[in-house]
Amino acid sequence: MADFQTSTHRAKWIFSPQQLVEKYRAANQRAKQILEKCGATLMEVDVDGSLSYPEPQMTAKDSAEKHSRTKPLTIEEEQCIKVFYENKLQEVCNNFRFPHKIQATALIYFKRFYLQWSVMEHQPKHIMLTCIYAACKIEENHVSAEELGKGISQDHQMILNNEMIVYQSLEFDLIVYAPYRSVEGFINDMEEFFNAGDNQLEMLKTLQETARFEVDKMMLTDAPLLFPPGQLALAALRNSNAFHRVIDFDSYLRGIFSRENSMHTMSELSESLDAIDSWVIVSHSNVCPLTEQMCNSKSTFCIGWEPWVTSVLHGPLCGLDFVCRLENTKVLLRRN
Amino acid sequence: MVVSSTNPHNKEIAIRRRIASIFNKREDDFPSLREYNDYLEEVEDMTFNLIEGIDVSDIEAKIAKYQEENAEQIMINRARKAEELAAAMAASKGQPAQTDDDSATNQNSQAGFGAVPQGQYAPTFAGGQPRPTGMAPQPLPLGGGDMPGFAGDDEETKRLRTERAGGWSGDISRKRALEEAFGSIWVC
Repeated sequence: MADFQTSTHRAKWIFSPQQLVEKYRAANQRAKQILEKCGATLMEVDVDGSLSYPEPQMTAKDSAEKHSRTKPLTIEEEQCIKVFYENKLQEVCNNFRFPHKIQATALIYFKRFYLQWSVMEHQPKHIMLTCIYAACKIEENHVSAEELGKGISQDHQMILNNEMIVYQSLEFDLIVYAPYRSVEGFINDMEEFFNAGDNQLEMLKTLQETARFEVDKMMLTDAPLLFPPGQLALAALRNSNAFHRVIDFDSYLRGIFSRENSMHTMSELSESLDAIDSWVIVSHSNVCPLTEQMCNSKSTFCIGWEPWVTSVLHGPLCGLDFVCRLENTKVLLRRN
Repeated sequence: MVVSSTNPHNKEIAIRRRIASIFNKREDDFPSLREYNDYLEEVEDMTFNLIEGIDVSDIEAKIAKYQEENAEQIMINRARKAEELAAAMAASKGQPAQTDDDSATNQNSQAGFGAVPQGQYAPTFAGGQPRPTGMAPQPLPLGGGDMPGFAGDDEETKRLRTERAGGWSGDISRKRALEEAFGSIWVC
């Protein structure tokens, strides 16, 4: 039986907010330096996981062109792109009718990958699909790359090409813990704690369903990188209960502490749950408007994907096209 | 026993059964694991040579000598094995093991060690202890007829047996969910 306490998830992949910011800044700075030196940032990735940095641009004409056209992304802009593709990832998983566990696993892979890399270095759409493919393997719901590529009208070879770089970036720590099973465990415990009758059992089922939606929202934020799944599950249940008012949640928490004989305090747990709520609220209030604009706008950044992919793959300077596309999007947003 | 020529393993099976019933010592009978392993190796060598037809006469003589010298120990171990088999069958039926058998066997064992007065019952084999014939219920025969205990089981017992045989039950996922919920609230 898998055990969170002995897992790499607990040992290596739960950070403090400062650590997160430092990682994002390091990746962004590295990409900026490459852009400054080479004029492009997208890397060539081989099937065996080896990387090739873009060729340096040496001629004066290219330098002048680079100086006038190239503009690196800021950390905030990278965050917007990541959240956009996390939403896309959820859409793809819903279309394939994958279980929530696969969706959550793929999202966590995606987040961990872009702790190590900037979105300017690897195309998030390719990484997103590769993370879904890897999650299907790990969660024993295997879907072939051909089937996955066919379902979204993309070349499956791109998924296979990126597979090894994704595993390397995750440091091959592929077992992750999503809050969904923890939510189920707490619901079972509540049934015993409150001696639930038939009517209350129905309400607890409703509570569980709403908590699952709350977890879906959390998975779009950085909360899974900051908090253990048990706390995420409790925060989701608390929000769900605030909506449905099925149980007295505070008395349940006190019951947990009286039984568990923990070295931690209830105020400590409440603090964590409040912090999780803040992350969800802040992330959605900051990102949702821009993400909605990106999704609804007529920019080629969001239409289908084919024109954008074509321009990126065949542009003379791949990274420049990527950056310019984002510039166009920003212009559109400002006009709106 | 007529050995069928269609199955070349019948001879080996018969030989192994005979050797196992004579050389039936256990690890508990030896002071150390090394000596027990040496004993097992010697028994396997004899068995192999008998199967292959090597030095059959010498090995048969050795077996006869061992059987004569250790007749009492062989008999005790056979009885012990029969008792454990009966207890295991009783356990699988859900019935408590019969403690009366143990006390009866102990009494017989004690009686066997006492001096035999003139005119009293004397054992028919040298140095052997009397068998508990007629003194206690006999062990259930191996493979003899159906097991009557299974038919009367209720639904709960059947469900438990099914889960045990299949290795999975609904409680496993429930237990895992609880473990993951309470085991992952804290990082340190």
